[in-house]
Amino acid sequence: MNKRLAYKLSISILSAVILIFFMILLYNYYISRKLILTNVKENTKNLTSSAINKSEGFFRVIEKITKNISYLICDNDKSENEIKNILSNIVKNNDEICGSCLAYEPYKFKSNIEYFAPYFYKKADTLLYKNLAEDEYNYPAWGWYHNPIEKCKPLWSEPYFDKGGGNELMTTYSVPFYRPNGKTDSLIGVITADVSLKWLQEVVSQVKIFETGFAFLISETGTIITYPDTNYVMKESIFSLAEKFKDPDLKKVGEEMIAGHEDFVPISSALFKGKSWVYYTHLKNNNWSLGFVFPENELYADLYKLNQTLILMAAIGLALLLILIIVISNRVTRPLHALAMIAEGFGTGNFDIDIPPSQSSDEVGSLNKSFVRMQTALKKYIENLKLTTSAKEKIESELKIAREIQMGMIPGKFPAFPGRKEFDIYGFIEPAKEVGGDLYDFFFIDDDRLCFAIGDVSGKGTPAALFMAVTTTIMRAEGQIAGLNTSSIIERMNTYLCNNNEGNLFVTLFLGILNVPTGEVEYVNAGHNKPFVIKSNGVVSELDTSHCIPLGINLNLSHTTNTFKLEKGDTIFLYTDGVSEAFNIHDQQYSIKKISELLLNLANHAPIELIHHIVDDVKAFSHDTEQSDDISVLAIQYYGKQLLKTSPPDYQLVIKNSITNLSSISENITQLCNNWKLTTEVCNRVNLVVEELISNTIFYGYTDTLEHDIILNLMCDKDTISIEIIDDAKEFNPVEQPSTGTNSAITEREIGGMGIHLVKNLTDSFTYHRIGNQNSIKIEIHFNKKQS
Amino acid sequence: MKIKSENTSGLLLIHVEGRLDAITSPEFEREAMPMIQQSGEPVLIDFGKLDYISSAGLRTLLILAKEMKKADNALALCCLNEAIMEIFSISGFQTIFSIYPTIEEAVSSLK
Repeated sequence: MNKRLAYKLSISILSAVILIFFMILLYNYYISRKLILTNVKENTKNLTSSAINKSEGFFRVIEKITKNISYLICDNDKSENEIKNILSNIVKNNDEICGSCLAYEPYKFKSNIEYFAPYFYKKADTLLYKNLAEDEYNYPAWGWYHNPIEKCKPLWSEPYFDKGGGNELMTTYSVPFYRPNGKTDSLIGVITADVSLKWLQEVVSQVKIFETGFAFLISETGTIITYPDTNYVMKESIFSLAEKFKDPDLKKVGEEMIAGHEDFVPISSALFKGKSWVYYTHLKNNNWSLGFVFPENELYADLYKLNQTLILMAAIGLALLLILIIVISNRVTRPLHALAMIAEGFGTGNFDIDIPPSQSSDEVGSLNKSFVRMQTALKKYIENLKLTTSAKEKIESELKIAREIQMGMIPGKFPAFPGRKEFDIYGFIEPAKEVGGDLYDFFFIDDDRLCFAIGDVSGKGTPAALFMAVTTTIMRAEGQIAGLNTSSIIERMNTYLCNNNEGNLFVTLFLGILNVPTGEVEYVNAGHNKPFVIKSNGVVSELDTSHCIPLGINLNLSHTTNTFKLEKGDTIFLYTDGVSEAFNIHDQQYSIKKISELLLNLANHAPIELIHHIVDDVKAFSHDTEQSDDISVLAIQYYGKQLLKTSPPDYQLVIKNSITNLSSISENITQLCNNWKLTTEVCNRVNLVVEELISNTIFYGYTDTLEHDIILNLMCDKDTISIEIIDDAKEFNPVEQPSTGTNSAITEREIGGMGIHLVKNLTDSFTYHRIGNQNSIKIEIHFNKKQS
Repeated sequence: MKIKSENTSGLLLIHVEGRLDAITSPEFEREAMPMIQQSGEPVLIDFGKLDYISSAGLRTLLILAKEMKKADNALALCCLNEAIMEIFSISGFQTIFSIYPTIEEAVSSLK
């Protein structure tokens, strides 16, 4: 974490700085470039203007000298020696001039001499003389001679090789001179001054621009007059070079130059070896053009240098910044890292870590202080939590015990009266919380009269549960007094509950007494839901009762006692509002109507089936919602007096879920079988079935290690033994277990699963029901008594 | 449940008396297992005085049989009463064990 945060910080800050720097650099580059370019243009003009001035001055000097001589000569006739003297002095005294000639028109020097052209020239610092008329030179044919005559003005010639004359590359300034002859001047000849191109080359090459920048000179027609590479001189023109290097830009520059324009342009030409700038200008003397070439990198050398320096500085700056960031972020994150380790320690429950005190007053320092506060608070909180949790656990375990006690007050063992065949009764209760205020109860007042009741204490939870316990206790106490009827039981209960009701609770109660031999029922309804009566023919009706107020409210109950008669096969179904008012996720109520509709199909069903049908339906209806109210139901089906009642003694055994209890079961069963005069074989069979099922339950059925009851009911008919095993272990339907393979070889045979297979094969009927939280297995074994 | 063992004519004979149920079968296994592991001879279990056997007893037999199989030695049973024979038949154990009506027949077969 330490490294990562530092890394992230460094990266983001550096990226931002680099970005900003490059933007500045880029901007700086363009601005500097622009400035430098402007500057360079100015400098170039200054630089070149001196070269231009020098060049122009050079040409001007020569022009002036030549013209002066022409004036000197044309005034009067000069002797041959005088002329030679003048010419030789010109050439001798002027370094720039490599030769000078005075070429006469035919017969103008002397009437007897057709051509005369005395010519002095320098060759290796020696002054030489030549009369150009004397050899094959034929001076009138040369441009330097006839061009100025034709144009009647002094002219600079195109550069040429003066073959037979000076025998070198040169350009000549020729001035025609005249003598007045009447009205017009008559042409006498041409006086010339030669300038060696070598000389020009030297002059131009003196112009140095930056490191490798240079100047070049082209003539009116574009011919290269001077160039650093002397191979081009007089042999190439700027256009032939443009052609040669396939360079249209160069051609354009050439065109501009001979057009006499002046400009400063960038050019990328192979001739100039890469990117360059060219400044060109026109020379007024002779229509020549002077060009200056600057390689771009030299032009921008300062800019590049500046950029290099900037980049170097930036690199050093960035490196310093990086180090700084790493140092700072490490300093910032180190305490964070330490705090993270401490937090991790907190996570594992270690609250006793020493948090090193932080001296800094920044955010980390305040975080540190917060951590110290958090540590203290957490420690305190955890201690509190431990205390409250243990208190809560205590309450919960107490509530669990309370629930067991409460459930113990309600008859929960069925069949409740195995000996009574005239009716069947079944009840079910499920509090919404650990304990609840619903109740049902039934008990015999005397041999024939069964008192039964269902009730609902106002409110829920512990207060309701306590009130329910009082109600049940009082009801039992009062009900057990033989001779009492429903009216007096209710009255006495009401009086007690009213007088001992600090919590101002009340209970709705339906209390009935069934006369078992006759089926007559007398009852009082103290504000409770009307029970349903399901006739054996399927007719379902609510018991039409007149209500009185619930118990515990008013000493004056003003109740009425009602009666009705249960016929054979009729069932009375009692419930609390936890059934009719169960809610589903859409906030809809289950409703009394739904109960009655369901009951229509449940005529002639045993109470246990009927009740679980209803309860399952209610649970399915409200399966995704928390149970809002206690649910209690009670049903009695009346069969009437059983005339043929010779049942053998029935037997019930309740054992705890320990395997060692099996031996006592075995002993009891064996004893019972002896009593019932059953064969050893049948007895062993019963023993085996009971052992297999109960050991299964004990070994695999319980998810806790608590003590549980297992109820074993045994009944013997004349040819059938009925076994019922009821336990509150987890749901397990042995009937549906697949049979184990019985034909595999020893090594393949699975150990286990054999018991249920044996039970299935040794019994005549084997059924399973999950009833509430109980497993109920019913088994029948038929036998033939003759065997005994 | 009582258990007795004797070595006769090259085999280990184990007499079991009483009940083999969920409580006694673990005892039976505890006692019989070292006997058969140490003997190195074929084993014959005499069920002549066995009154009762449940799946727990069958399970123990199966464990012993697998142990014998590992040692590549024979395990046989004899003298099963009718009721116990029925349990063996229902469970299919009849087919995986060699069962003889008398000790003598078992001994002569195992030799």
